Amino acid sequence: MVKTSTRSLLESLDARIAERAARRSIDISRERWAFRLAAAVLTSFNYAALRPVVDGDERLMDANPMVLLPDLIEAPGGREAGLYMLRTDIRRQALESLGGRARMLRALEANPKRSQDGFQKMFEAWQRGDAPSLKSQNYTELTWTAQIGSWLEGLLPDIPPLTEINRVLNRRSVYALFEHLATSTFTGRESELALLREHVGVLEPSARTDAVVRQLRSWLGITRKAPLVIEGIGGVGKSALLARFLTEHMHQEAAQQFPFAYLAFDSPTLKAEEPFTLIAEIFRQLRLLYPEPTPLFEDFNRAFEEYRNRRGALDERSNVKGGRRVRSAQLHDTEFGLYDHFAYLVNKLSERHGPDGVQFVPFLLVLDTFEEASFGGAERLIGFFEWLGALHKQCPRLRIVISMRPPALVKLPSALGKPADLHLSDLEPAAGALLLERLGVADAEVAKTIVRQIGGNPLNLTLAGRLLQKETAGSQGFDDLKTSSWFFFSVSDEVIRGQLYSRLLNHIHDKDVRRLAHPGMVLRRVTPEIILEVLSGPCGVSVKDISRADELFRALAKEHTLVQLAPGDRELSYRPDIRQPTLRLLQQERPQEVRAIHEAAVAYYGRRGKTSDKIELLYHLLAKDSEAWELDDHWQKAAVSLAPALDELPARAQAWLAAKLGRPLSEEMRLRATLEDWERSVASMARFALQHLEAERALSLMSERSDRSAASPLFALEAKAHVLMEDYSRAEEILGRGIDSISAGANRGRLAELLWLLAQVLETQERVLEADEILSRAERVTDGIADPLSRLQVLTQRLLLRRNISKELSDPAGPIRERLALVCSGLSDATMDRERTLVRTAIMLLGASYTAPFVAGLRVVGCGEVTAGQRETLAGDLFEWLERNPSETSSFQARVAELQEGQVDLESVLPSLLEARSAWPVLLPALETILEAQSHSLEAANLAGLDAYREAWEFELTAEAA
Amino acid sequence: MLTQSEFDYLLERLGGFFVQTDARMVLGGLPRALGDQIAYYTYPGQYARAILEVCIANRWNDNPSWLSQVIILLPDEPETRAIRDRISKPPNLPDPSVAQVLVTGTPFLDRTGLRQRIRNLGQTPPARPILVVSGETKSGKSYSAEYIDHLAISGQPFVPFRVKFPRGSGRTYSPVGLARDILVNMGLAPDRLPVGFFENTTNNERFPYDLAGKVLAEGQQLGKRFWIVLDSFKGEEMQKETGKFIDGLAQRIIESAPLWQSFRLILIDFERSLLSIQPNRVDIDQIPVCGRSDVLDCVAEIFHRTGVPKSDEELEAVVARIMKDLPPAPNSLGELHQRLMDLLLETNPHG
Repeated sequence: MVKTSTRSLLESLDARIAERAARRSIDISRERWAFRLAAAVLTSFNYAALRPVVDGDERLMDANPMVLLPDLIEAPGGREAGLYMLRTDIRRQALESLGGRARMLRALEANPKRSQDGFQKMFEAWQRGDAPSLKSQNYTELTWTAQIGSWLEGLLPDIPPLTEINRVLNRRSVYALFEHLATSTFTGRESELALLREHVGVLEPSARTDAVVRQLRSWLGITRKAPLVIEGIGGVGKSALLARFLTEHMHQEAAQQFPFAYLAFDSPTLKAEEPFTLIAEIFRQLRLLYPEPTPLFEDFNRAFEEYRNRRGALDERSNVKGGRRVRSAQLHDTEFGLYDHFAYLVNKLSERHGPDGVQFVPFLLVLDTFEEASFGGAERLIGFFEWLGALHKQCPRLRIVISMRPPALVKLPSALGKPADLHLSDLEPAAGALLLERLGVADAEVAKTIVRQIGGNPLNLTLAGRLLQKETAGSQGFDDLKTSSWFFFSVSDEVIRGQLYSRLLNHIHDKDVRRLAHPGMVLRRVTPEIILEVLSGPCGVSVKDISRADELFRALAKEHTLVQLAPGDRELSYRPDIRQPTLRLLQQERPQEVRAIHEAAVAYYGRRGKTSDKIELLYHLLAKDSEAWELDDHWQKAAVSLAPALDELPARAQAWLAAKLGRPLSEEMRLRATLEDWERSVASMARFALQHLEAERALSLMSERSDRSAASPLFALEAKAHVLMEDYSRAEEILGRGIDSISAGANRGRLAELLWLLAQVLETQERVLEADEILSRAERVTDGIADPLSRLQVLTQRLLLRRNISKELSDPAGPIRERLALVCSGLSDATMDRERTLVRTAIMLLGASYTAPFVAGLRVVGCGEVTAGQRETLAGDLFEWLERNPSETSSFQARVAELQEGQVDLESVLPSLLEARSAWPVLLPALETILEAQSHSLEAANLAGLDAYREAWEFELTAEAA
Repeated sequence: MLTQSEFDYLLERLGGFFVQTDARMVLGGLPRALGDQIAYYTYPGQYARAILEVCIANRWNDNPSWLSQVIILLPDEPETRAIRDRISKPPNLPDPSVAQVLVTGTPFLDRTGLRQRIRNLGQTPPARPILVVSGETKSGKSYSAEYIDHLAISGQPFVPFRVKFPRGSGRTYSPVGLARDILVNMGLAPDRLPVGFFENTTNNERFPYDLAGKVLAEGQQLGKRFWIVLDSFKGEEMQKETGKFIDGLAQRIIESAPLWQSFRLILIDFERSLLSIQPNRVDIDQIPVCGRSDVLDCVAEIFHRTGVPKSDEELEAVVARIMKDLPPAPNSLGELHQRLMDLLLETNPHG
């Protein structure tokens, strides 16, 4: 029954509140404690199987473990197995009550069938007092120890303080990025290590008592140096060398250590074209190496937050007054502001304050797998080199080491000085033989012979070591292996690797499976259906039906060194490190079979409709060097995932795909590229140049050819370059040419974009009447574009023109406003959310009299930045209105009061204020005034809503950064 | 149909029940169509999970619902009874997105900003498929997950699940551990995935990103729309690689159209700077301070539900009592929430 008396309701509430307080202080049962004690010494457990610590009270043996349920949380990663752990606060209480080592060990005995995974073993080792030292634990073990330390800190005498464990763990987590590369099989490279030490200015690790003094002395007078570039083919051991160098200083005395950061450009988060991603990663590593919070780090963190906010604001469409040049300059200033803060951080970290004053140590920046960054071309790296140049200039103790595969696709800028080169070649014969011995080749003579035969490439030697587990080598090494010594031309390490892999494949027991693997490796993925329909013929394997194909698939899946199963068990792929060298060999030696497989794959995928199938179809069309028109028919955005396969393709196909992906074209590709492919590639590069205000460089790229396709993306980019150079007449001329060219075609998006740019150019020259005429034409063009945002933007700009000038324009504002209201009324929340600042400008121009779109827009995009004065004025207006209209709900009144007192900001309460319709006559005009006072400009904006007309490469930069 | 906490509660209770009772015997007494969908399992907990998931998928298609028929097997405890009563009939709310009291009976104060952001999150395509919910300690961030549950129970076409970081015991929560928990929440069995699925064959920098891609690819094949809610993954205690795994989830969802059609990612109490994606692809909800007006709105709605509205003076009196002697922050919101629950029970003791 509902309580209608407020008094009795309040009494009942009092009683409930008191009862709950009383419940908290009830003692827990003996049974529950017995289970708590048992659970406290286990990392995780299945609670139904948990046995209590009975401490002589045998009656507890029959207790139900369900009593422990309120004290449990799910063990991390244990949901599937139903594993639980004790809540942290309760575990601490229980461990405390156990009181010491002896009782903890007895508590363990209560559950003799407990899990014995690594984490539990480590927990027990700390309980026993025989855990390995922190120094000797690997990263995973340190993670366990950190958790155990937080449970046991202060309870057992030999548990290190948590701060100490965290310090070691955090430091180790940075080394964990690469330490697995410096394995026990690392051999030789003494001279290369010495060169690295000399470049950085560190001495070889030593146990000598004067090591610290010698090191500090060597750092006196440390001065600026150009980068060291380590170059070597894949598998030669560049990353292993760097890992070895960095890890050998891991356990040095603190005084001998130096700050460093390690960036591997094959990481998916590092984007060389966006230096802030590199700075974020370096900062993350530095915070781990120096875990104590310092004002230095806090200041930089603030600067970084500020940077993020400014970048976010610059990426908004309607915000920058002053045109494209101003926006680009602001972007540039924002970037360089961050670089300055970062350089300051680097300099400070390379200072050591001691009794003798300030000493300086090097700051090492390692840029590994740099070839990944340079694939995209020099223009993509303009920002990166600007950052590196600024850092080099401002930080004299900075030591840069760049590691990359040849050829060097991008030249280092002269601002970095003349780089020192370290060419990493094969291992010396003795080191190569030692590597084979460490890989288990017991016979030293065999090891030497193999090194003589295949050379000193560490990856090839590792493969040879594996092969020697399956076959023996004679006095001349492996039989029938084509190497450099047997031909008048040299055979590359990669081809030798391919042969070694082929021989490993030959050890597959089942001959049908062997044939499927080789030449079947031409395919990127294999399923039972593919075995039946694609591979059986070209590979010469008789496959009668799908059940036989299924058997072969499962047999192939067991070859773990060769293949990996895709998630879901339904398809497998060949390991890339095996497939790529083998593929090259196959193309050279068995071209007909390779082509037959591609043909069969095209027929197979051509009958299928899933996106992943369409991508494979495109891959095989490319691989068999199909005509561009055929490729164009099968292009789709998701095919950007084919980028890593670029090197596997013939030159013409490479040109086509590189252009689609916005990659630079090599000389050979350029010769074979169509006009459209060349335009795509150049446009992508030019955009990066324009982003960094290098208009002349962009124009130089685009001037390589003078002909243009009908809907060329270059018209817009050339015009933007001339605008940046303030050559408006040339920009106008190019846009006119582009508009004429595109008008004949069907690409409304490109046409609208050019009209928009032309209007901007005219407005910049204060030719407002002409600008409006062009916008009027753009309005008609955008009428046929599905995305309403382009039309919204054009109409908004037409009204902005009328707002900013005093003279009359031919079309009156009223009908334009009506059309804008109509567009606004049809916008979905998601569409408005995509373009918050643009929509805010549009509804500001409509004003509160267009109530429905005004309110709907405000609900989604908010009212932007509001000053304290504006907030107080609004609250004051609403208070006055409330005095005249006391019937409004008390929650509305309370909200207005909170707004006035500054307890809440307007943005957060706006949707609920808008709920009060009766207050709209006061609220909406006040909001209109607030919006009007803000800055609204589309002078530097690109045209929104054209995504459907853009190609994959055009999405690499944010719309407004380009 | 159930909130995460209700699900976890029933999972424990049902698991405990099957420790003592043979699950296959129990299935014999339940609707045959339900039993047909349950495979043979070794552990009671696996049976409990499978039964709950099948019941939830069947929603209110049978009368009484399958879940009601299962819950009746459990001991009669207040929590069990509350769930049973609540799910006895399908929810019927005019607009669940504006409710101040959720379908689970939990009060949910104000949060107009969050409500709008979650509405935007549900759009296809979403401008920002990632949402970060931030705020002061114990400001009610985790209640955001309850609101998402509420929308799903009220018929929104997505499947939410929450994984909460075990504060104080989370240092071993690795990318693999989190990946496994996410897969289980999507209804997959990690141990049945191919050997090597969780194997790190690359470097520690890249591996979490690769793993995130694999997890999402598995989930996408199920053809559902999942809203992944990760709660309190932050701080010194969280492994750096786990942060990268979460960044990987965000990255993949943003970059791939099939994935943003299938997933949304809601990060409650997460350090935004750990996300490497473009700032304008992430929506941020900064929880405002819960004010008196929010409590007033909620109390008014509670009385409105009873059909016996109160005068402004009476409402003020109830609000004054609820807000009296609240413990100091950061514990005030938890107690406030409890008191609003008390009011709900007092005004509507049966439901």
